[in-house]
Amino acid sequence: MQDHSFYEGLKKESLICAQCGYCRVECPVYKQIGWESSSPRAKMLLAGKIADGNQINEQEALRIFQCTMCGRCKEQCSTRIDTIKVWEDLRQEIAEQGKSPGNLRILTQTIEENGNITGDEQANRELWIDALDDDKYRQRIGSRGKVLYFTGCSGALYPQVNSIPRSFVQILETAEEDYTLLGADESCCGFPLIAAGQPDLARDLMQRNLDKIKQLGVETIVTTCPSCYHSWRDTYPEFLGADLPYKIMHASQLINEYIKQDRLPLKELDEVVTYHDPCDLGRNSGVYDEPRFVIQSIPGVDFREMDRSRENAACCGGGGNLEAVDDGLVAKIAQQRLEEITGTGAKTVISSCQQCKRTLQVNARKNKIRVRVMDLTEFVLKSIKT
Amino acid sequence: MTQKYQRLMEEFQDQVTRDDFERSFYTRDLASVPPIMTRLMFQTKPDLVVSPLNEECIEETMRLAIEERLAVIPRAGATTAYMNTVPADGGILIDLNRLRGVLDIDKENLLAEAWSGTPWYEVEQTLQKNGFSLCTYPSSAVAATVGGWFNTEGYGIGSMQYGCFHDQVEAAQIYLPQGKWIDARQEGSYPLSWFMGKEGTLGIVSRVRFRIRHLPEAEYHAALAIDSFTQLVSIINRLAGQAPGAYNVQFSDSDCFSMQADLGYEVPLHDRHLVCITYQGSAEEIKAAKKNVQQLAADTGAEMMPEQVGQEVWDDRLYALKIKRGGPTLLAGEVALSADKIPLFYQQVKKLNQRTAVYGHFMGPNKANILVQYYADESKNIQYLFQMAKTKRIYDAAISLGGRPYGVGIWNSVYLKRVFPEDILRQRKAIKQELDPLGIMNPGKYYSPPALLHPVLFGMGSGIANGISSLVGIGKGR
Repeated sequence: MQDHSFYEGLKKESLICAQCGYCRVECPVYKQIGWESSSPRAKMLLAGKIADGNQINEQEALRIFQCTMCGRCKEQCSTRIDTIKVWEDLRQEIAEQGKSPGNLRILTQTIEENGNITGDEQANRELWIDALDDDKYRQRIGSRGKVLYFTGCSGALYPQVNSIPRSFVQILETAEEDYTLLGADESCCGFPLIAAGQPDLARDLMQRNLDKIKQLGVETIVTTCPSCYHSWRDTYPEFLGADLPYKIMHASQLINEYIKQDRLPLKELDEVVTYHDPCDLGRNSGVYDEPRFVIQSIPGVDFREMDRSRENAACCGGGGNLEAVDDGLVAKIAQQRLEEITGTGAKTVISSCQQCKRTLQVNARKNKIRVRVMDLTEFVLKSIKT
Repeated sequence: MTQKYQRLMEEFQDQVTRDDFERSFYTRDLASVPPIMTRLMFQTKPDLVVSPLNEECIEETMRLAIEERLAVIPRAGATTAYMNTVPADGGILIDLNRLRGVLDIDKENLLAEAWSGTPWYEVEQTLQKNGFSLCTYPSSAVAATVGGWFNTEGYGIGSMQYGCFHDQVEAAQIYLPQGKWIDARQEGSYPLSWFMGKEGTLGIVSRVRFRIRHLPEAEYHAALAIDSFTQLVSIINRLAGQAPGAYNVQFSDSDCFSMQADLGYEVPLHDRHLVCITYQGSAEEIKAAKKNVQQLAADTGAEMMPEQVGQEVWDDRLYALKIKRGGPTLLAGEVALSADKIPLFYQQVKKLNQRTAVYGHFMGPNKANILVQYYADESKNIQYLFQMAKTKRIYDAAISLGGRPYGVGIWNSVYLKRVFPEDILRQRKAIKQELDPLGIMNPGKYYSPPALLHPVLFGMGSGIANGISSLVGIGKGR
């Protein structure tokens, strides 16, 4: 399997698509909807239609946006189509035709006006720090530091997952890291805008974030959000046309380094756990090993792999802005993943993503599934504090 | 029309659709056929699509079809290219993809049962988890389904050792267009041989029970570089008598690799052909196989490639379409041919005035399934029609050497009388008449060509197109 993208534009890729259907076998959306129209190969036919200059209708637009952008289709494609790129370009074309689903138009406007996905004041990005009840964390905002922790909108603004940045900064402190935070100066990484078909607006946010970092002496940018990680690592250089002067890391990678350097005092946890690969960290960024190394470094942990893991991992349903388009579909996809999780016998599922945690947790509660959902940072902190 | 379907729609709401948008995605298979051709001859959009979640839904749909004399077209992966799973004249399309999953693994008797819409890849994963494996599977196993392969020819990976999938089938649950379920077996009133390979023209298959094997302890993939297909024949002849037997033998010609190289793929060789021989068995058997292959290479003048090459070819075995990117369209002819005729067939194929990638699997020690693929561009309409005509030359070459097209559907029905004796065709039609007196099951396929595809007219048309192409260069391939 070649790693590089062959992408040659919507028209060409739609012709290259063999309609073999390899893409749809594991597609989480097709598996739930069941009609051929929901399969990636049907979306490729719509791509051809749009590339030929045709207007599309709302029903067709909805099908395009009913996608978690999990990349499973790309992994399976028999003609090596970079389907993620196709979906991004398709969404842009639809946005230009003014046919995006209403909620996505609202999301776009929200980010454009507020710099974040929730519509909160930017100052609210710092609220999660208050619960730590120690001023040393707040003092990191805007300070100079070698490592910038880019919190991301979800971690900073969704109370359900505020515990992730809170856990991570405590890990950074334990490891005696020289780190900094952007606080209210941080803007959305741009990823949700790309998924909404608004790459130009995403580019503006990327530039805004880079401008804020310049004076902080940063050498490494670390994120707890896989989508932020993927954006910073791959999309920023692509969109801005230059390599960034920073090393980009996901929290799982940095924590793994700390463990190897013996900077974290991990204590025994007697728990049966499994790991859910976030699509943007695993399949779309190739980070599979580090989260597993971290989990298995904690003494006493009984780690159980799911049948579908690593590059074959199933999506939780929370990606690609699907929540804004069809939350009922998200729930069905999450339900299926939760069944796989409980099938391992694990009492705790660990992920490395705010959105995966939110999606799995909400749907586990809704369906009374007895499984605890934790982020890797939370699990590591628990081990440190035991 | 809607009224006719009302009962079904009320009873199986989310399993039935009349929505025009939904129906529009069931109008084609792998083949890209210019609308001018399909619109002239067929109505490819079904009137209704049913996607059953259970056998009750199949039964009710079939009852309605029988009552109203409506055509029924079964479809699952739709991984063929002969319109086998596309309506010829509207009707009810039954999309079996949601009947998915392995139902039973009989560990003692080495049998498994699966819903017909289960992809082979999924069956194999489930079996492996339990310490078992499929005997054979199609080379499109990622998307091809159990019911689909039951209904088509049934040769693929592993056929060198285990033959046809049809020989491994023990039973199948089929709803007949007479309005009843049957449990077809190898013997009995409704022998499996009546149904297997008949492209869904005799009933709807819901479940299939088939032989499996223990997961092999070890495997070995030998890659041998050869200069000619005469060497391939020598290799296959020598393999026939050897123990342990090879599990799978596949081959690719030099153009397969040069087309891949043009796209930027890393390839093991550029100007020679490659044979990949796979052995699966005990560690002891694999050890013996390795020794045999060394001798085989020495005896036939083949060059042993590094072991990693064999592994890579094996890993890529389900991805023959990877070269399509160079097209963007990939046209193909797929044939079944005696092993000893491969060199002559290859010579004729290479006279197509078109670069062709030739790739094949052995269906047993004496016969191969060969896929000849060539580039075309469907976005250039007129050129494309001339390029399509070349498939006839591939089939003519195979038929002249005693071979035949692999698969029938609509497009290859024009060759039926040239490749099957009259009594065989008559017998098939008699069974069809007995089981489907109303002629509602997948009409227009398999038994005879549609009026506008009369073999004489088709032959003349294709012949003229190929003649013009040779003289003027229109449709000249890359």
